[in-house]
Amino acid sequence: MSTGSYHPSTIFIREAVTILKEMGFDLFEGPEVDNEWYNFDAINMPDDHPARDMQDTFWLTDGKLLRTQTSNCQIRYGKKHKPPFAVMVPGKTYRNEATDARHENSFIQIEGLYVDKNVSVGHLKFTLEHFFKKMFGNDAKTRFRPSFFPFVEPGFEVDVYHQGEWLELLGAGMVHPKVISNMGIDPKKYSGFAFGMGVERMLMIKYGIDDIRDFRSGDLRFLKQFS
Amino acid sequence: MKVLKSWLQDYLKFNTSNEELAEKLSLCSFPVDSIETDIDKNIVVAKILAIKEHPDADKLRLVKIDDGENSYEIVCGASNIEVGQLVPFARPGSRVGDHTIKEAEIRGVKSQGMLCSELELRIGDDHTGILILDNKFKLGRAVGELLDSDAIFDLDITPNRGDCLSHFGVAREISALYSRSIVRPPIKLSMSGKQITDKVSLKVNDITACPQYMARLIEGVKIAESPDWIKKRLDLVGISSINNVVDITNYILLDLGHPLHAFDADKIDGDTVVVRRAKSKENIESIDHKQRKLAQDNLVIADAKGPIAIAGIIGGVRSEITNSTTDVIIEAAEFDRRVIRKSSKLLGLATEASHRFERGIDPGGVEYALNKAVKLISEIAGGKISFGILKHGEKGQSIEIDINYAGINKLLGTNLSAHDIDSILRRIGCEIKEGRAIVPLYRSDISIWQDLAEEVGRIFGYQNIDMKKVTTKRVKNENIFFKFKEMLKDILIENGFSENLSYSFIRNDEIGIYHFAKSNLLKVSNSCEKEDLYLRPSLIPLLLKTISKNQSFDRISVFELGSAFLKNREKFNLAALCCGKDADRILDKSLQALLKKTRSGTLTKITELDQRTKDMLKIRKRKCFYFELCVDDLNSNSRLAKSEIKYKVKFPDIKFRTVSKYPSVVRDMAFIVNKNIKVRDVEKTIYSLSQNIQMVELFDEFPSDKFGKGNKNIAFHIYLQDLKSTMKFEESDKIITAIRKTVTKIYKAKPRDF
Repeated sequence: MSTGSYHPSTIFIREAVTILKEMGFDLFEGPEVDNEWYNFDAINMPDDHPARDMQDTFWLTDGKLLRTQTSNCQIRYGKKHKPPFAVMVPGKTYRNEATDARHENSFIQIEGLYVDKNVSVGHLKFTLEHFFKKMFGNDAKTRFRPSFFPFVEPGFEVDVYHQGEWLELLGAGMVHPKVISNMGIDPKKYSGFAFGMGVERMLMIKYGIDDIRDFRSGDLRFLKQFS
Repeated sequence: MKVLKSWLQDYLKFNTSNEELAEKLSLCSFPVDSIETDIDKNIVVAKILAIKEHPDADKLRLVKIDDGENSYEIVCGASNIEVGQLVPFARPGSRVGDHTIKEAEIRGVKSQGMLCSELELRIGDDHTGILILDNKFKLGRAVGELLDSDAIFDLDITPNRGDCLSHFGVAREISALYSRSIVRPPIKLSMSGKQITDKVSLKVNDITACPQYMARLIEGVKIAESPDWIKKRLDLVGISSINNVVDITNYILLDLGHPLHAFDADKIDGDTVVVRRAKSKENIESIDHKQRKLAQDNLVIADAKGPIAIAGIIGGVRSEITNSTTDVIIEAAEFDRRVIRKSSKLLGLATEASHRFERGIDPGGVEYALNKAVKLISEIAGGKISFGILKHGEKGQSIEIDINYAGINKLLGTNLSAHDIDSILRRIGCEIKEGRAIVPLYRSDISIWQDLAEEVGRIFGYQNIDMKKVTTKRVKNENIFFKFKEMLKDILIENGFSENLSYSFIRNDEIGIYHFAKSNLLKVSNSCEKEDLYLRPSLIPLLLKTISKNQSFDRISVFELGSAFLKNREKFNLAALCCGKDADRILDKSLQALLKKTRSGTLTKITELDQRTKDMLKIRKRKCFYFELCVDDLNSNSRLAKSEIKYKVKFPDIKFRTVSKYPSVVRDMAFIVNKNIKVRDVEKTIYSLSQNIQMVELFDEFPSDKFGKGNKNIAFHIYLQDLKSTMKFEESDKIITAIRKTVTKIYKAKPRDF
C-alpha cells in the first residue's frame, strides 16, 4: 500500500554517477577492508609523516584496516588501467572517532580521478564547477584555496557557493607524482587530478539535515521522506 | 595556532584590515578559523537616522540609529555627528574598556547603548568626538573586524607549513603575499666572565638524529615573575606563564618557531652534556611529574647520571629551572623530525616543541633563536652571558630544484613567463640561479618541481586560473555490477520497502544473539569504545534493530544493501525484513519479484523471527519475517543481458522535515471523499497546516459505493512532533481539529471517527 523510499545517499550517488558518467568517468568499487600499503603508503602517507595524524584509523587484529578514504580503490584501478582514464569511486569509509551531532565514524565518500597527458588545475576547475552546477543548480560556483593532502600537490580545499554562502565542501588537487608512479604509471608522461567529497555533508547541505546521525538512525520518520 | 597582530607587526607593519588579511591568508596560504579583536563583537556599525536636542540638557542630544536589524535611541554628548553617518554602536551587554554597557536613563531619557570614540575603542587617542566610520561598511557588522585594532588570529596551519608555526614565520608569509621584504634585526650579545667550555662540554653520539646542537651559559640570573609584556603576549596566544626564564624559552618558540630548552647548569652531573639514544631500562621524571620509561627510539640529553631531558619533547625534573637556579644553560638544536615523531608516539606525548620538530624547524635559524633567548634572559632575569658557545654540526645544504617552467605552466594551466615564475619564487624566499631554485632552509616541504608549482599557483591566485574543458571519451564497458545492485534496490522500493543504512560494526551481545562464530569474524584492535567491535558478517542484526526504533509504525518494511565481512571475504549482501499485518506475504512477494526480475534461480528462504530473539530485542510486533542473500552470488546466477540492467535516475524534489529527538504523537484520521480527489493534494494541504506535522502516511484508500456513489475512504497516520519537547496531547488535539476542519471544507469530505 504505502510507497517505498530510497536512502538519500543512494539518491545522491546516483545523481553524481549520472553527472560524472556524462563527463566520461568510469565507476569502480573496491574493498572496504584493505592493507596499509593501499590505504596509506601508496598515497604518499608513510607512517613517519605527521599527515597520518590527520586521520584516526580502525585497525583490525589481522593487521589490515578499514579504509579511511576510497583512494585505495583509485590505486587499484590505476594499476589495472592505462591512461587516459577517468574514474569515480563511491563507497563507505571509516574514521576511528567519537560520534556527536556533527561527527560520525562511518562516512560515504565519492572520489574522482582523471589521469592523462597535461592534466591541469584548469581541468579540475572545469570538472568541479560543472559538477556542482548540475548538482546544486546554475547559481553554484566554486572557489579553490590552498590546502595540504599528501597525495596531491598542489592541494586544495574547494568551497562551493550555494544559497547565498560559501561552504567548505571537498578536498582536491593534482595527483602527487609519487602516487602516479605507485599506480604503475610514468609521472613524467602523465599527470592527473583527484577530488573527494563526503556524501553525508553534501546531503546535510542539500536537504537542510542538521544531525549527521540521522542517516544511520534507522528511523522511518527520516527514511520515509525520500520517496 | 593563535597569533597576535601586534606581535606580527614587530616584523612587518601592515595597514590592511583584519578581515582583508584573513581573506588573503585563506585564499593564498591557509585557513583563518577566527579573529578575536580587542573590540567587543557587540560593538557594531550603525547609521544615524535622526538627531534631536535633549529636552533636559543643553549639551546632550538624542540620536536615532539603525544597526541593520532594529533602531535605537541613544543619548550622546558629541557634537561632531551628522545624520547619515556610520558610527560604532556599543550594544547593551558589550564591553567598552573596563565597563559593560547597559541601558540607562540619562537626564530622564532612556539611552539604549552608547556611541564610541577612537579612544574608547582603544585604537587611538582621539576623544573629541564619535568615531565616524567609512560609509562602505555594512550595518550590523562587528566594528572590531573592520578597523585596525589589535586582534588574535586563529590559524589552521596545514602540516606541510612548519615554517609558519611562529609569529616571525607568519609575518614572513604575509610579506611574501604582499611582495614586501622582511628582516630580523641582528642580535648583538655582550659577553663576560668565563668561557662556557670551562664549565661544561658537549658530546653528540647520534649525529644523524641530531644534526645540530648549540648551547650557551648565563651565570647569575634571578628567577622571578616575567614582565607584563611577556605575560600578556603569552596569555593572549594561550600559553601559561611560569617564570622569567621558562617564559622566555616559550616566547622564542612562539616568536621564532624554534623550541629551546633551559637547564639549571648546577644540576648537571659531571661536566659533559651528551646527546644520545636512551638505553633500555632507563627512565626519567619529566617536568610534568610523570615517570617515563625510555627505549632506544627515544633520543635524550644526558649527563653522567642519566637522561636529563627527552630531546625535542620535554625536559626532566632533575635539571629543571627552580626558584633557586642561578646558572642557566639554554639549548637550541636541530633534531631529525622522524626521530622526534617516533619518540613522541612511543611515549604517547606531544608537546609544542615536538609538534614543531615534526613539521620541520628552520635549520638556519638555530643560532639566531639561541642568541635572542640568551639576550632576553640577561636583560630580564639579569646574569652575565658567558663567552663561547657549545656547538656541534652545521646547518645543511639548501635543496636545489631545476625549475620546470613548462611543467609548471602545464600543471597549473597557466601561461606565465619564466620571469614571472622566478619573481614569485623569489618572493617566497628562493634564490634563482641559472634556472634552478635554491629553496630556503625553512621550507622543508619543498623538494620537487611540483612543490614549486604549488607556490606559483597559490601566489598567482587560483581564482586567476581559467577553466579548461575536459574532453574524455565515453566509457566503453560500464560497471554492470553497480547497475545490478541499484536495480535490486529499485525492485524492493517498488514493493513498498524503505532503504536503510546502518553501521558496519557489531558487538558482543549481537554475536551472542545470532550465534556468530568469533573465529570467522574480523575484529577491531583499537576500538575507542569500552566494548569490542567486530565487522558484521550479516546485515540482519542491525536491520532488526530498526524494529524497536519504529514502534509507532504498524507495518515496517525495510531493507539494506551493503557490505558484509568474513575473515577471507568481503561481499555485498541484501537483507530485507517485514513486520505487521501480512508481513510474510509481502516479504515473499518482494523476494519473488527480485528473483523473477533478475532472472536468477537463487533460492533463499524467509525466516520468521522467533519469540526468544524478539524478547531479547524488545520487539512487540506480532509477526516479523526476514531474508538475506548475497548480491555477488545473485549476480553470478542472473541470466539478464547487460542491456536489461537499469536503475532509476530521476528523483522528485524533496522538502525535508527535521525529525524531533522527542517522541511523536500518532493520530489516525479518515475521510470519505470523492474518488477523484488526489491523495497527494490532501497530504499537501495537511502538511501546510502546521510545522509540527512530521509525516502524513496513507494507510488505506478504499473506493466503495457503501461510502456513497463514487466515493472512497482515505485514512492517514498523522505523526505530530515538537522539535523542542515532547508533543503535548492538547497541542496535538488542536492540530487534528484544524486538519479535520480544513480537509472537510476544501475537499467536501466527511470525517470519520476513530
